[in-house]
Amino acid sequence: MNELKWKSLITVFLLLFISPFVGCSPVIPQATLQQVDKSISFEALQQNPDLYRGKMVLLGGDIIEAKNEPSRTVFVVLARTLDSRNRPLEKYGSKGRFIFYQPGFLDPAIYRPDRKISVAGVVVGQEVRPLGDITYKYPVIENRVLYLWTEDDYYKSEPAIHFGIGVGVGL
Amino acid sequence: MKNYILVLTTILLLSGCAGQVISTDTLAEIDPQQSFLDILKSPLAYKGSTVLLGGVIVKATNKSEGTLLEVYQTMLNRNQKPINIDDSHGRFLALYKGFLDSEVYRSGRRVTIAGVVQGEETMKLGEVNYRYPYLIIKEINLFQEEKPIGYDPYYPYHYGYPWYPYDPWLYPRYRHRYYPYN
Repeated sequence: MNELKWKSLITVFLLLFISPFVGCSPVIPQATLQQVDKSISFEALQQNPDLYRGKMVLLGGDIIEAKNEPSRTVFVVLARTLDSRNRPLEKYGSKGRFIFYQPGFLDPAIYRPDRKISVAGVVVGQEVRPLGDITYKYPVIENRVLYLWTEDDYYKSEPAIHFGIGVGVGL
Repeated sequence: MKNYILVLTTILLLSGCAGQVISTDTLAEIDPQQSFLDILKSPLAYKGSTVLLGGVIVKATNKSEGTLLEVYQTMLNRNQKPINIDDSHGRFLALYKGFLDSEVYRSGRRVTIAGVVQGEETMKLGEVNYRYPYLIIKEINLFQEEKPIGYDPYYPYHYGYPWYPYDPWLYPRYRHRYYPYN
């Protein structure tokens, strides 16, 4: 009887400690993240995409366009800064655009403009396309892992419990 | 007293069917084993059979022969309601013989359709020649628009919100932490 009590107590404790981490599983698999070259900044990539050919990068942002081609879907994305969960955030503005190729058919009605995605992929080069009256040089990435964010991902983002001592001043 | 029981029983019986959006008669014609992937692969093999499909409207076009809906397919729950709307196996076309207002049946709204497969139709989608299964609608149900789960019922009026106006996260400097879309 006593042993049983201890066992259930330990179970409850384990559950209490583990449960806060369950909600935070990464959307890009750990194995892929390990291959990502974190030293490459988006600015550097944009300036000279050919220099980073073959390197794995992690990018994200707002979909500008998704276009279906016979064997792949071509995305144009407005790059955003990613947070610790690799979620693109709007508040830091944007450093530019990039293109990525996703093999197969993805429906542009789902992957529609303004939706947020994160991609891990390999740099394959650059593409120059007209943009308004100018031409724009896009770094091109071939996609390996793609994650489409939902609005709920943004709302449920903050942990429900905060620990900390604070002094509040309204500004 | 007897009437009272009768009324209650009727209500109970009716409420059990509230979720169903396609009539039982039509549902009886549908092969429960049918899969959208099979229909998409070979629409002609299903010619003449009644199928149950649901999804999200991409486009509604009013034509002389009726209203043509272009829909991307999603899963249905057991009440025949489209769910998991970010997952789709593909698109289909469905013709309604009559007028449906394209402002009501507009892009992004969920529909469930019971229809008879007529065959296929190929149209340009981006640079792809996409082969759509083509059906004629027998019954259609349009679902109410839904707010996202995390929708803040208090925004932008936080009266009633328990910590208003003492919540430091409410003010512009920190606002993005809790209200990323505002």
